Amino acid sequence: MANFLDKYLANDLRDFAGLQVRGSVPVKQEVLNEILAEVLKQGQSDAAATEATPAAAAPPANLDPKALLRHVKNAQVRAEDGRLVLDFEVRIDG
Amino acid sequence: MGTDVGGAVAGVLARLYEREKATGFPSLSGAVVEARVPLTQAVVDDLLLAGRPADPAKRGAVQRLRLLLLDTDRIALEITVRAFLFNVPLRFEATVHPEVRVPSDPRLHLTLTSGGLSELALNLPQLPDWIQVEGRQVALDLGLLLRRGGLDWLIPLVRVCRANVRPGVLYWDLALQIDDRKDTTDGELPR
Repeated sequence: MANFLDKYLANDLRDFAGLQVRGSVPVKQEVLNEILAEVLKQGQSDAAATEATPAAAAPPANLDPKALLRHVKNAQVRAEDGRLVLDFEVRIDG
Repeated sequence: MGTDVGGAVAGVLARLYEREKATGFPSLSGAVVEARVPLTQAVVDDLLLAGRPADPAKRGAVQRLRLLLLDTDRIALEITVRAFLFNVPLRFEATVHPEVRVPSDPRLHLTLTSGGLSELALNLPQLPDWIQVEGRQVALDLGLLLRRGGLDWLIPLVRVCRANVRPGVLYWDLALQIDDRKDTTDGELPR
């Protein structure tokens, strides 16, 4: 499966032209704080942060976040009932 | 050396995903996602080849298996089975029942419209276990395939699953929801 993913990513996901994903994901403050803590840790010690990231969780070789961001057509955060909600829309155009 | 903020965020998200997947995504309760996923004929071919040995001698009875996306809700199943010294090609056409009742019955149901039922019956023991046949009714067990691909955690999250076949493309229309639940973690993420 990982080989397929690499193949499709290398092809800029053109095999999935027409794919649409949209949704709303509540993000707990604990998650945001964890991300912030990780960013701060990375800033203080690149080496330590790299060591702290397990190899098994490493993204696929061809996963380029900048390239993937091209497909994000809409993303906004709103506050609701004491939590942040991320609304997003991803579309791979043909 | 500059700070790799993107890498740090990607790392924490990857770890978060693994952790949440194991516990039913409690930190994302209330999430709603709708998707239309097109699988072209080339992608379907790739998926069916996944895990199959390149060497024909190691493929067992089913030498070749292809799902052809013909037309609106119509597919063909081409199977080549080894019988004694010969490879016997079988072709069946079927209509697709678009609704997949996930999570209770994560199978795509088909009704055979052409192709030899007796040939299919004769070769039943040789078919892959995710293809289940009862008379003219065929079920493709998507749950089994997801389990084998390590993606069975998706099944309880699916609220709507529809397959729409068009010439050369199989569209999956999906709605996923992580039920909103009372926060009992008191600020602690599951470890």
